[in-house]
Amino acid sequence: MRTASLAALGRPALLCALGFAVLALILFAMSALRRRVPAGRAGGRALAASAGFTVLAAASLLSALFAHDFSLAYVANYSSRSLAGPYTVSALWGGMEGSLLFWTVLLTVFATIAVYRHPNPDSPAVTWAGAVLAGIAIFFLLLLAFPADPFARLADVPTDGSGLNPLLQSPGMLIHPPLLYTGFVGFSIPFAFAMGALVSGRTETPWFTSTRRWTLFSWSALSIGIVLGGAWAYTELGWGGYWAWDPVENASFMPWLTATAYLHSVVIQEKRRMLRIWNVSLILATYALAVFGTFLTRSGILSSIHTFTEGSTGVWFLPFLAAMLLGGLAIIALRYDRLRSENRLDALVSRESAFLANNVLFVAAAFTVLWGTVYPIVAEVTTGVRLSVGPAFFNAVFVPLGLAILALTGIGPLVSWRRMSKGRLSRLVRPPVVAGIAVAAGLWLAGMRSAGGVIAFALCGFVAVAIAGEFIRGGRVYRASGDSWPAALAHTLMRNRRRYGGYVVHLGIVLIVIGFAGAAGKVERNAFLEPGSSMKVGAYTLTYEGREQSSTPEKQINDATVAVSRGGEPVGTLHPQSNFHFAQQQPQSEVAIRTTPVEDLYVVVTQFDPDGAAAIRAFVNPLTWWIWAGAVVMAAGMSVILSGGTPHGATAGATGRVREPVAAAG
Amino acid sequence: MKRRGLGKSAGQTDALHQSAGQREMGRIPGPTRTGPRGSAGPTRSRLGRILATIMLVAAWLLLATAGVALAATPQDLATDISTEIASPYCPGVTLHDCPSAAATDLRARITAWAEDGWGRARIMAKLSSEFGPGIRAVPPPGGSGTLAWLLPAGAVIAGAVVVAVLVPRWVRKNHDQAPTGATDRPLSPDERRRVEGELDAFRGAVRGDQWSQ
Repeated sequence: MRTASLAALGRPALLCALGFAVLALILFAMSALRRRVPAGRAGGRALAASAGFTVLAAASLLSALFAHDFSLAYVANYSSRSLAGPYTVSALWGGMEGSLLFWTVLLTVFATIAVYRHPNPDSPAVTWAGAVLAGIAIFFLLLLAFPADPFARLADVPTDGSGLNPLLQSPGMLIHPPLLYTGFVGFSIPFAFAMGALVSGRTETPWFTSTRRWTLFSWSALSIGIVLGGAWAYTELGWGGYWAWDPVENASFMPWLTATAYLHSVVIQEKRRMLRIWNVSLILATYALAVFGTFLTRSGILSSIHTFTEGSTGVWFLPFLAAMLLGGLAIIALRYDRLRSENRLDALVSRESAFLANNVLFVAAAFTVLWGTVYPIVAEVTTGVRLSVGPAFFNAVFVPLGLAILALTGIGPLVSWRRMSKGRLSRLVRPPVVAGIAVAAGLWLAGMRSAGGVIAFALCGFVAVAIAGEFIRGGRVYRASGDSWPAALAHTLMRNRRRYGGYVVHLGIVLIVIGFAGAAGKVERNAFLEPGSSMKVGAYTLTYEGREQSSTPEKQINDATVAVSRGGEPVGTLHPQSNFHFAQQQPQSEVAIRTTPVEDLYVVVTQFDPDGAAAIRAFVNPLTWWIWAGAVVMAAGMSVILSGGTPHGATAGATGRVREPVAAAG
Repeated sequence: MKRRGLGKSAGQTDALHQSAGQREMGRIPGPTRTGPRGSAGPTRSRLGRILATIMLVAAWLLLATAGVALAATPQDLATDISTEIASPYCPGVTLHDCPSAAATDLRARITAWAEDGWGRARIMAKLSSEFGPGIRAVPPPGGSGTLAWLLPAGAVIAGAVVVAVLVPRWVRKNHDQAPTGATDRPLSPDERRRVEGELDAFRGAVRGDQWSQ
């Protein structure tokens, strides 16, 4: 009975959360329009109450999942009695209604923290930002209250649930969706504060400074979430890859691209008070793309292997998206004069120019991905033929842009702000260029003939040496004061965490690109093997020794034994599985991977014959390990940046001052 | 402890945390290097930028087409083709990534065709005739398919135009308006002494570990 009463709290809690969100919007708007500070403070409290009730609703649903309260349609559809405990937690975001509830929890909690922790919470800009956040919360709470009610009840209560999709029963799924949602939802904070600054007319307000940590935090969560999604695809989907340019993958990648552009261009606004229209537009685009991605995954408008949360709510996102975009663009147009840059570029060869080029490439890349993602819809409308656009298209149009961005990752740090002599730049660029050429020549001599692969590796060498040079130049100052090299480098890193932490993130990107470039040497072989027969893939010989069958309450397990040898020497045994899940009546392959920094041997059984013969797909994936290593390095760099205090340039936006060169000052 | 000498005003960075280029600023500020150099200069440099833009876009297109590598073996050809067609059995997924048994059979058929000496075009034609034109997971040639390929290139060109044309114009406007404070001269002995003195003070502060983040 206790369980039922907990679940019964869910819907009332949601309705209370909705009521308080509406109240927050009214109070924030009243405060902003009539300059009444107490109303704004009351709005903050109403927003906090809305967050509290949303958390209570999520707790109610979670308790119903653990108590197997199958009277709730959501619990019956996405869990079962045999579902392991941790995956019962992930069932909270495993379906459409639960994932929207989880999203709303994050949104209301983040919004409350952002408003309360703001250094000047009574300012009109923050009050308007609170109103925007309350408006967004109202939209999601309306969805939960009506078309996507997670507390809808069944007339006939089943004795057991359908269970969670076997693909989602993976450790990665415990972390990947929450991180993606954290990223998507987190961008609502800088978006709301940007809109708040514009609506209030406080365009000089450094909204980007007060939301910097939110932006970095959201970007970090999204970055790690995307990589974890790749890791999940690699280990669960059984096609030997980690990225397929699937619409749902693209949905997370597009806001990441524009957010990355924003993270770079906002530095120009901080230091030079330039690009203000551009930065507001970028943050608007980022949040709009995050919402668009949510629409894609929930509307079913595009087919995706990742769509686990499809439902009828997708259509609700279109008017919300339209209102957000039109409203945002209208406000930007209204404040156009106040947003114009106060400074201009001093020289073509400058850090500002490098960042501008970086932004152009990132935005072009985001547009390319967006276009490839929506093209099937365009084609269907114009030609009537349902098409899909796969990796061949995306690789052709995106990879060159990605390589250009990688090159700028190496060049950007070498260029100074405002201006730099071409001679000095060429001297600084020389060692990285030599390294890049050496890498390319070495690979060519070693027999690599993939143009894309050689260029990618060469650029990785170029960027890595450029980053190392920055650390060495910074460390020399501490070396001169007597530090050892490790201590000098550590001092350098910790002294300016934003800058050098950023370089560590860049280094992580380099490692990830090394992993991507390794795909140029990928080998795949398919064979149908009788027990005792062998196949070759790359330098490996795989011998299928037979199958063992067993059962658990959840699934029938078909475990293949594959002996692996290399050059006649045994190197181990792999056990790929092809299982059958009873609750879902669904087959599911479990991949076996032998991973090393040099290459992965990836084996999957796609089917078994009744006589025990097995269809085996085997891949040799060079350097894939470096993708995951790069993600760890990226996460370390992000931690360094986030652990830092207010960076030196943080207040520059308010003063518009930038260090003058000594010579010029003299 | 309050820092002396190279102390920062808001928005400034100290000598240690300037980029390598900034550390050299005292020697070569260089604004005059980017200014107009006579009547022919801007025209020539604009032409150079346009040529550079064209070359960059050409390189991009070359690299894009280089992605279609020649398959080494019939199995590699079959794998390539399976990544270029949509699976008839898994909506939204290429044949290569489709886990169904029917997809496994179709991949085996394609491999068999490749081993029989069929080329890419013949296999694609066979698949199109069997499953319809929608099986190709790339925009088709002609019509909206051409637009699909050209629009990303258009985005790149538009971006390149912004960088190559608008930014230099932006810089020139600034030069027209900016006071000519900085020069391309080397540091005077007095200035050099000031810099060295402040760097010494800075190093002393570092040694005493008196700075904090």
